[in-house]
Amino acid sequence: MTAIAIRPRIDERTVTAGTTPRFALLIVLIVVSSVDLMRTLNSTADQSLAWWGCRLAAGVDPAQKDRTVMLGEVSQADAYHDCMIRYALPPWWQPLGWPVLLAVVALLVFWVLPRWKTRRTVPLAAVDHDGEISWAVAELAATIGLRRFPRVVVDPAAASTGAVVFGRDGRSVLCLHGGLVASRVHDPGRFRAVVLHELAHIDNRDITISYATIALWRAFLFAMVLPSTGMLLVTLPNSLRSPYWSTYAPAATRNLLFVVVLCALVYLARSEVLRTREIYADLSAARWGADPDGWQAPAAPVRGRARRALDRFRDLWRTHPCWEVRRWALADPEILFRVAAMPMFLTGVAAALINNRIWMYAKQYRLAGGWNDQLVALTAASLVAGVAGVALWRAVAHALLTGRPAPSGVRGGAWLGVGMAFGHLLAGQEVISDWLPESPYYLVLVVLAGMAFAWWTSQCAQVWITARHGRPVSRLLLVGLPSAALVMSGWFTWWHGGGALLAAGWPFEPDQIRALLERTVTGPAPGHRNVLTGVAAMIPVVASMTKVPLILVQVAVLWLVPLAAWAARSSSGGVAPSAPGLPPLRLAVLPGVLGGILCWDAVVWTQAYLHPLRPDTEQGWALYQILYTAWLFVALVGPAAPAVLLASALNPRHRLVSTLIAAEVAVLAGFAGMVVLVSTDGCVRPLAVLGSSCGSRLPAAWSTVELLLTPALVIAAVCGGVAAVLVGLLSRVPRPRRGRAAAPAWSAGGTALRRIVVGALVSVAMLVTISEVALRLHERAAPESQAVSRMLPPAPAVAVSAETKRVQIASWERYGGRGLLGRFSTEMDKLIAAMQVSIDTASNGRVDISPARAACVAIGGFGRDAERYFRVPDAEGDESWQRYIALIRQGSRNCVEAVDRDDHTLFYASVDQLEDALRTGIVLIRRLNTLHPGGL
Amino acid sequence: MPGIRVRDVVRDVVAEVAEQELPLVIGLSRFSEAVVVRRLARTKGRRETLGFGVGEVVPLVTAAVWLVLDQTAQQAAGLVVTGSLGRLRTWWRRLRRRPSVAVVPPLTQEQLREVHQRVIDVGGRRGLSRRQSEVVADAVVARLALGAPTGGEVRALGPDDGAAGGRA
Repeated sequence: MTAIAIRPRIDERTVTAGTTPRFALLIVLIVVSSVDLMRTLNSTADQSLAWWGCRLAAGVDPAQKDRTVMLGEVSQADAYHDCMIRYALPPWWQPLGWPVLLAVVALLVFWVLPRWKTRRTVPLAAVDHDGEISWAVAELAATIGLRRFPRVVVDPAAASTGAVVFGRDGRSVLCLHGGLVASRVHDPGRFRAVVLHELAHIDNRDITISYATIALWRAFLFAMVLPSTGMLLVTLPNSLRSPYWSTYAPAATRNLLFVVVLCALVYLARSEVLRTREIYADLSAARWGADPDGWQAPAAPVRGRARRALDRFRDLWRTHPCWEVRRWALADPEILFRVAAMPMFLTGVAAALINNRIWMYAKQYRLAGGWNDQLVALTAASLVAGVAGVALWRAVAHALLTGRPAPSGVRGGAWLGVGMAFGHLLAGQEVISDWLPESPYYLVLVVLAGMAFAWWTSQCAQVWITARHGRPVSRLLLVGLPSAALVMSGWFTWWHGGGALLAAGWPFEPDQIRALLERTVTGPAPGHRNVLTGVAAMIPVVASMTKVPLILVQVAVLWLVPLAAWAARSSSGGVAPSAPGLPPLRLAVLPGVLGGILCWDAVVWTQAYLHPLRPDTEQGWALYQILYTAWLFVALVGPAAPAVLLASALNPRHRLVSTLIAAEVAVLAGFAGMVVLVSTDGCVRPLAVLGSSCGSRLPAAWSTVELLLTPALVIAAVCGGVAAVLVGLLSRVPRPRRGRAAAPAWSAGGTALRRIVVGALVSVAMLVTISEVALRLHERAAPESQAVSRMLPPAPAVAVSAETKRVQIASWERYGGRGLLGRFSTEMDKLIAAMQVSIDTASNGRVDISPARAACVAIGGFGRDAERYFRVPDAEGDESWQRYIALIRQGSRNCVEAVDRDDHTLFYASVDQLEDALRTGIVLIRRLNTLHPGGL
Repeated sequence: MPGIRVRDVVRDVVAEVAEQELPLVIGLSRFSEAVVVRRLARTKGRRETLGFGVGEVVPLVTAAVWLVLDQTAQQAAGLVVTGSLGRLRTWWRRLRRRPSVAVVPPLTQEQLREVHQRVIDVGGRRGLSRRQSEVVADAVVARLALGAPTGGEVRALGPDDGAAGGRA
């Protein structure tokens, strides 16, 4: 105990407890999960069938691996989504009704709970005739300055010496247990401790949020989990009889597992946060004068190792910490400031599930992509920042304010990352009908992202708390938490936009992309195959970056937020007498400037290397431009490597933020030089690449280099992180530089210079970021994935069984094919009817063809719809289908043109084409009937 | 029915040997006998959200006396709940919300000795020391021996008049 007594401690209220965001995380998780969970109750049998029916109609073979299934979906994305929305999904607003229902039930439970709990209690006034107990409670409430006195009741049958509060913050009820009332005279210390503890819950405003979470949880359990799980189990025997059971067994298992894990997750997280609130209440009570002896409890019996492990496991599920921990926390609240593994893991799982569930909803209804993804990610990331970010800031603040070494946060971050990876696996975003993603090892990236986030957040906290010592940490969180949320949202958006494909199996091989480049842009380039392969490999990476609308803002936050701490730095030393201050800014900025200068050299070398390779033919210029762009990119990013290594070596205590600053400064400085050198291309003969004469080529130069900026800034930031890790591993134990740590106060001149440097860097970065983001706001929409995939060579055909082929054809017919074929006949009937009237009313042997126009326009519309629909999942049948569509489109186009020009020859030709289409349709129907007898 | 109500005996005994528990007796008197007995029969504390935590359980004289006297009253009335039929009857009574106030009839010497021993046993099981249990048992027997005041049933605490009680 002596050891505890001499340890420095801080007031636990110095930094926000961060329990409200933890409750919020639970509430959002429950609400979001309700939408997904109730899908089984929400869908009709036909809708459930259509989940796989649409895939089968797209020609997907359920026996194939996920990657093939995914290719089938992506290559016909428009048709697939149309099919899903029409046949498999309820109207978009319907799933949103479940959270409303949940809220109503939860409100009801919240209203009933206090009434239920008071049913076996009596008002204190009714039993306390001499008023002694009331007076004692009132005195304690007055001591702590409680604004609203609770209603006090007694549970006369409860023999324990405890109490409880419930109700809501504004109208709380304090229930004293009979044992406490009976022992008040003999043990006033205990009475005081217990009542003060409960009053602390009221003062800390724990009641509404705690009971709201409980109400929501119970409503969710009884109104959602039980019915949906019941339904799942009822339909299970039918599912087991399906020939495709093996296909959806993983998804069905995941759904069941999801329910179990969700329940465990919510329960564990709720208990964990309640335990924290209990310690806060204990500390408040102790501060108000409660006797520590009030926390005495019967001594726990001595137990074996296995039993102790079991006890620890049980403790995880309990709403109160064990008495030993509570007494320990009263002596030293350090436990409140630890970055514990369990909450970090749970936060990771919850955030991944929340992000995934909202994103999946948006994707199903074609609302996903771009800014919407960013918004969804920001929701989940805000919760991560609110929970994990606060925990990390608290740990750093506690360490710095008590003179202990600041934690790196990496261990906690690893748990966060493991939680996110587990959440991804559970949500099944990267899988369709497999148990595991095709490349599950890519989920390591998720773990690394968690670690990087925690490391960066901790370092930001470290530099800001060091720089602004003496200021309330809660105020610094106003900068720290939104920044952390933005950074994390970048990761979530990227993962959903492209990263997840790494784990699921990238649908297009680099060789395919290179072949496409050679076929459509450059022509054959045997001498530069490697460069083109590199470019092909970079295209998906850069493409995935375009899925993150705020990527430059996020990169800017990564280095500008810590950088700003140097400008905001106070003029005196560290936060605690023994804590060192911030290192000089030049140790991070100068390596960056050096990298920028190296970049200029590299651009000159690139131009000198490419000058002799100037092509003679027109076609060669396309390849030459690609080579030039690729080498410029290398020249821009490459020099950042030595810069970040140097910065990392010079700043052992702030390695990550220093390397980020150095990396971004290097790229920005290099980019500025690159713009100058490329825009004066042609002025120096041996360096001329695209220009042949000297003159201002700024617009052309900008269009060449502008594309490079975003990927260069992002990749440089990643390089910065990698360098920080490498140098950190090499040096292992960072040795603080005592000379610098005890550096004297900065002079006013030094501070001014530092602020000018920081101001300039921030201005440049903001300018670049805002202009790039503004440009992206005005970018044209990317072509549809269906259109893109059609540019690529078709995937090799996979042989399917006759039964699967039959089901595929049946699905093709059921989910639109049959309707389309029938619709053409109807449209043709209208055309014939219109023309019949014209023929009947013809005068002088001249038929008026104008009445045919409306029918021809309708046939054209039908042709577009048919083109948008699935290809026939049979090579021979699809050949007829494509010919059928082509004839219809051509025929309808010619028909409209003929009517407009009153060209009878063209009109009859168009009718011939449409008639030919009808014949082709009959051939197609015969083929379909062969494959699926009795279908049409 | 001649005799003395359980809650009256409990109040008088508690007032004599454990005055600090009187508020509990007053509070309990607001509930039916079945509720009181069921709730007093619990020997463990409960974990409650925003409670103080599962801690010490105080050995209550009230609980020991009330449980023993209730059992005595039930035995005397031939209503000892044994088996599922008895439990069903209890549930039925609760469902019909019939007021149930247990009454101990006049007891023989033998029965009083039995009650005395039972109080000592139950008191011991619920954490009272041997000495305390004996004091309580003596007080219970003395009160039962006194019987009901003249005029039949004792007018004292009832389900609807908990607030009327006070320190003796």
